[in-house]
Amino acid sequence: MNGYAAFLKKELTENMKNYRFLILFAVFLIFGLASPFLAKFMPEILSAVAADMQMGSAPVALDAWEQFYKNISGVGFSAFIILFGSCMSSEYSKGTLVLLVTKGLPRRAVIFAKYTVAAILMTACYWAGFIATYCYTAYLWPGTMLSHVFTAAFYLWLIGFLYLSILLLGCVIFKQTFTSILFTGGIVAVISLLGIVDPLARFNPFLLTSKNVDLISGAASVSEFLMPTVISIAITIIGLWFATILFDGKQL
Amino acid sequence: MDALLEMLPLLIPILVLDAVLAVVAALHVLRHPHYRFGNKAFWLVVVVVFLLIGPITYFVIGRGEEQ
Amino acid sequence: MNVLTIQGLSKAFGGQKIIDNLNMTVPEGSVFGFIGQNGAGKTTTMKMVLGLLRPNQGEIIVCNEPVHFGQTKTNQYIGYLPDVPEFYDYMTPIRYLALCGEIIGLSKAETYQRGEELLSLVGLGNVKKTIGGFSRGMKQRLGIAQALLTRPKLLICDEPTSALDPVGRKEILDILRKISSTTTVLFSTHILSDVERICDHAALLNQGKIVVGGTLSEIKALHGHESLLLEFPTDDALHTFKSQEAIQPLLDTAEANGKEIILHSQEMEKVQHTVFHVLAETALCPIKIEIMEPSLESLFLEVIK
Repeated sequence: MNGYAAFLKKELTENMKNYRFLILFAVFLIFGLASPFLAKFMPEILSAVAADMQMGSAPVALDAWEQFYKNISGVGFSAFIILFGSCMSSEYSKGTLVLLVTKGLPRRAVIFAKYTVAAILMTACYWAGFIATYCYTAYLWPGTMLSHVFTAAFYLWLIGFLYLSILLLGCVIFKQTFTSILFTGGIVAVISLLGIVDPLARFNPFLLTSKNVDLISGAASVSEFLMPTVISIAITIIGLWFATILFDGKQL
Repeated sequence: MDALLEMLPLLIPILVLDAVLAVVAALHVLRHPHYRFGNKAFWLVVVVVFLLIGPITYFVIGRGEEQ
Repeated sequence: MNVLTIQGLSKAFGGQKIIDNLNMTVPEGSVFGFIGQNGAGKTTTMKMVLGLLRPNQGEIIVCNEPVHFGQTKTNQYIGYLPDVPEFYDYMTPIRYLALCGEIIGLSKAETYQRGEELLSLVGLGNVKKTIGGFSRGMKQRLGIAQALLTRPKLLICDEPTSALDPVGRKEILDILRKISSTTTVLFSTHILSDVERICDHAALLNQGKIVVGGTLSEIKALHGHESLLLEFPTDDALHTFKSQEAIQPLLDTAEANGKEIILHSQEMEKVQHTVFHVLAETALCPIKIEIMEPSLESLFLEVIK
């Protein structure tokens, strides 16, 4: 427990000092603010630039959330994975863990502390982005009532935990930052491809990132999310468990 | 056009965030004159001109080892 | 009592035996020099002692407790300084020691007090800058400080002086000597003068085995032979000396070097009798006569031949 708490503190300071948190917080906040903004004004900007553009129907609050989910699950989480891709490789390449592990820092404390800090920062960034979109949407489309706004956001948040678990596993296996990121990208791609296959789609965690807007619009129901949620949490835990096991046998 | 004018105040927080990132990155460029590639002038231009993308690029791939 | 006992230790990497049935004991209170060429397996052995590498065979006992791979229980007795210690660049030395203290489970006050004490011991007492700006020697000294934080019974240093300039080397050796009154020190090196300077015990590792081991005086007495150096004023004088019949049997193992000749033998007294006899007979006057102590270097070269 000593080791976990000490390493947790070290990780938090490190992520402040190397600007990771600042950058990610700014990225999520910017996209949180920009999503409703783009949804509202993109048609106007386009028509101003190209006069003969066909104007579609007037944008609604749902469009803002569509932008939010597109941007956060795409750009936001990608930025997160890229920035955290070096979380183990920097320790491996310099050999900074050797001294601490030989001092009695349990190896799994390293993994759990790294995951905890990444999850805390992800949570802070994600909900900051959410609040930004929520406020701007409320301001731009006053009086619009949408259901399940929080629930839909909750599911994408869960996917964040899954991505981080896969990323950490990749980081433990591979010594290079780039390979770890590639591994994470590959697994995520496989999961989303499996989402297309019909019998699997109903259980696939990918549903948690693809049907959020449907949930708000009423095209999807909360019950559809139950199985993917359970499976997503299961994979998250298994990934983390694998990471600790593999890390135990890793030469530092 | 009214709508475009209406949106300007809403843009301010986004621009402020972009500016904060640019300033933080620019200060880092000036205080840590070691880069993985490129030189001081190059990175200053990158972080100031390319909003959002510039500072991120700098912190992810441009920054050198801590001195 | 022995702080460290290694019995029948073997380790192979991809079919190539690096450590082959190694036996070694480090007695408490000693400064133990672990000598070997680059690539002889010194680091491998140390990493197995620390539980960072899995041995193929053999047993390692630290303070009466066996070492298991991946476990850190025996590491509470050991302070470890790797050959190139690496820290977190953004931390100050005292902050890094605080992190170590938290991991060990020391109280805040104790960590701080001990940290300051150790930093002044290694000469980093007033350094306020972050580790990123440290020289190699400073990192090495901080490495010693962090290794001593746990008050270890055994301090293991992997080539602590190899990467340093003469000044940095002297500083490290002085620190090691200073702490040897409270801690057993085991350090690996290929620099023999370092061993002669501060060690009382040594072991020589060659081809995965300890080929020579014991106290420094034992090693020298057992394996070294003494030498007699004679320096003559002219080449002619040396030539005359060498041409004497009584000298002939000694020339096989002798080394000539300019106007110098070095005679080696197990029986130095006999050699001296012969030499002085010859000198008296020929009326040759060497400008220097010296009995040379066996050096670790000559021993080392002889053993690995």
